[in-house]
Amino acid sequence: MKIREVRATPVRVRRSPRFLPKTAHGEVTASEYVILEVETDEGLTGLGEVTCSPRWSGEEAAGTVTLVRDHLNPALCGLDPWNWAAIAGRLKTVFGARPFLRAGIEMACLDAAGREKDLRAVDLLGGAHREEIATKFVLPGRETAVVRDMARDLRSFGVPVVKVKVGMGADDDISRVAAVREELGSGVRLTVDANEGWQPEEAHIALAGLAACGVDAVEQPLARSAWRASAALRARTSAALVGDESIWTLADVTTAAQTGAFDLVSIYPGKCGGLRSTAVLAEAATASGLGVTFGSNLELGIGAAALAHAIAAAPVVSPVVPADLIGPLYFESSLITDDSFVGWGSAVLPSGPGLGVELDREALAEYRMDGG
Amino acid sequence: MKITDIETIPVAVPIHADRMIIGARGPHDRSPFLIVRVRTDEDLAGWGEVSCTPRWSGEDSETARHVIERYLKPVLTGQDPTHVIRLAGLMDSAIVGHHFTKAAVEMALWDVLGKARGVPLYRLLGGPARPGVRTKFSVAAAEPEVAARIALWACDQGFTAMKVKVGTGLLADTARVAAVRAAIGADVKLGVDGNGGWNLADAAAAVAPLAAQGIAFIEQPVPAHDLAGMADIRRRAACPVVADEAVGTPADALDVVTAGAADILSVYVGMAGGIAAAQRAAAIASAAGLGWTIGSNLELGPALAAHIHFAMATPGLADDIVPCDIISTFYYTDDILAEPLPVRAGWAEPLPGPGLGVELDEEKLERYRSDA
Repeated sequence: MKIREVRATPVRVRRSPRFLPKTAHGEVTASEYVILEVETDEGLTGLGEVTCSPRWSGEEAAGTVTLVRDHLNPALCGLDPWNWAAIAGRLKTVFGARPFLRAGIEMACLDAAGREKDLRAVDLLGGAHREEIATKFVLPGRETAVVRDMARDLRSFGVPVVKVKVGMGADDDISRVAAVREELGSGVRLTVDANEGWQPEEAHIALAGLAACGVDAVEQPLARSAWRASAALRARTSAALVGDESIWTLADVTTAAQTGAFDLVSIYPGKCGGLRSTAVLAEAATASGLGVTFGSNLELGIGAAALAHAIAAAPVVSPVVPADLIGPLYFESSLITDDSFVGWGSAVLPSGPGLGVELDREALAEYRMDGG
Repeated sequence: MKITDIETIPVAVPIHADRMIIGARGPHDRSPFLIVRVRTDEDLAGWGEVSCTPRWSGEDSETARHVIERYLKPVLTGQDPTHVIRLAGLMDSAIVGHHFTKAAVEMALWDVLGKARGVPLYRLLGGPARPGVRTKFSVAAAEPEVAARIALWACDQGFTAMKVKVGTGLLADTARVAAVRAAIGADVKLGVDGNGGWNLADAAAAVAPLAAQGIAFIEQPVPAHDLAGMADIRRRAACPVVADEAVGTPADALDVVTAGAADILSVYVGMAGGIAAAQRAAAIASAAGLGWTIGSNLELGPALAAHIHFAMATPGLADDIVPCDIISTFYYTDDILAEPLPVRAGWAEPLPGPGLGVELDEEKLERYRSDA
């Protein structure tokens, strides 16, 4: 099988107003991502998603599209999507950085290969360790009254673990999380995510206040390179610390283990440059005694499916910090025909070949940004 | 004074085929770069240049143009261009990464500041720390006879220091180095640049044959992320080891210093994200008692001038041990500057005017612009 064409379509999808996300990095009302299609000479097309975000990773839609159109498409035509070794080698000669783009290409190749032989993507990665995936829902870093209402709204869904965005001022953060705890009661576990938002001295105050709310895990309390400050914070708190913006590569996992900065690492295909890279990081983390949890950049349907396969392929996932496999719940449309595999509090691995999802072409036409 | 516009002009200036640099990352046969002009309401304009190749940082002239239009121009228009550091912070908040692109705008802001005050940039930056900059030539990873011919040509031009590209394969590399050394004789300073192309075993095996050829320095023998490997080679080699790809931002410089990975750090304005960031990276090297030098991505006039000013202003430049790669003028078939920079074989100085001191030849800009 040979790649005949690699297409990139920029899309702009509005966030569902019900749970308008907001973090220490800012607020976003719509997401501009890129849908990839790797078309093969056998008429099969693999689907990929570049879940790009200028403020988080620096990758953005229009630049991604021109790179694919002008550099990647010519470079990949004629290659076999099964031959990831060759494709990965070729990608390195075309562009540096850009892990989310690399992940998008890889998931599309896995999708194409899986479709050809009726295998799921997870089977191409060594097989599924689980079919059901525990997830946590994420509440935005907004005013306490607003977040209290959202938490109340969430009660009926029976979500067992909820993450609250913090890192926007210790006092406001404590007030927000306390309100969520009040609304959800003691049966729900809470985690928080500061997205690098605290200075070290502020983090100490925030964590002391949050301890009273019973917070199990704190994600990325400090700036991504503040390894030793994070280790110092970890020594003084009973909550588990999770590295997210700090953890992109294998070297970062090693640094995390050596500095003692975190209890767990948050990994996922986009940030880590693909499902295979994510598996390598997962293994290294587990071997170093670090917990493994799966994060998100709020994927649409294709990206969420890839995340599901990555989680299913991991031998060990944290029993305390479930995955952020929730992207489709946040958008007006997930751009796939059936996104029911993502539920409230849990998800299931799609059963179809490849990634197991199909592109909703009408939705693609409606949300594409390039007037094509 | 206020910024009124940021103009972008993609250009492609041809390179002499016979001297074209081939390294472990492939050939640099064309430079599709982007010229940037920051316009103000006071009839002053600043010049900048995105010396980008996608293989290095995932940026090309199209993504750079788009990032400037969509993310940087909106936050900078209406701002006072002389507040260079504050505006660099605004750019970082608008989008993560894209260092070469941001560096182009930042150097243009420095140019405006210098022109507004009637002062050359190296004085604004606290120099002159030296009267000029020692430079070396770079010989491509070509067949031994071809490399020897290029090296001899460089000697004829007046160069007394050069480096030869290696990292493509141990046997070919040692043959090339031997041929070059035989051609240029024992008195010319000769180093090697692996561009991260060797694995640790090959790099270790190369140390003795390189020492036999009197190699004066070894640049980036192993991949950028392998700081432990760099430190290993540093322990084995009697000559200095230079970190290039490993050094981008000040945080990267700190990692290299902490790991003991190099004797000399090769700093680059584009990789660091701007002249101010490059100065901070150089300061970290100096604070650790290490020297630093300046690399090249075959900059055109504006970025070349930025490097010369940066080199002249900043203490700790070890251009006696590892001369700088301020050499683009020897590779291009033409110059887009109205008046050429005083760059000769082995020595570079800035033009005497305020700011970067360069003006672009508008007719050449039109001739070489690639979006016509």
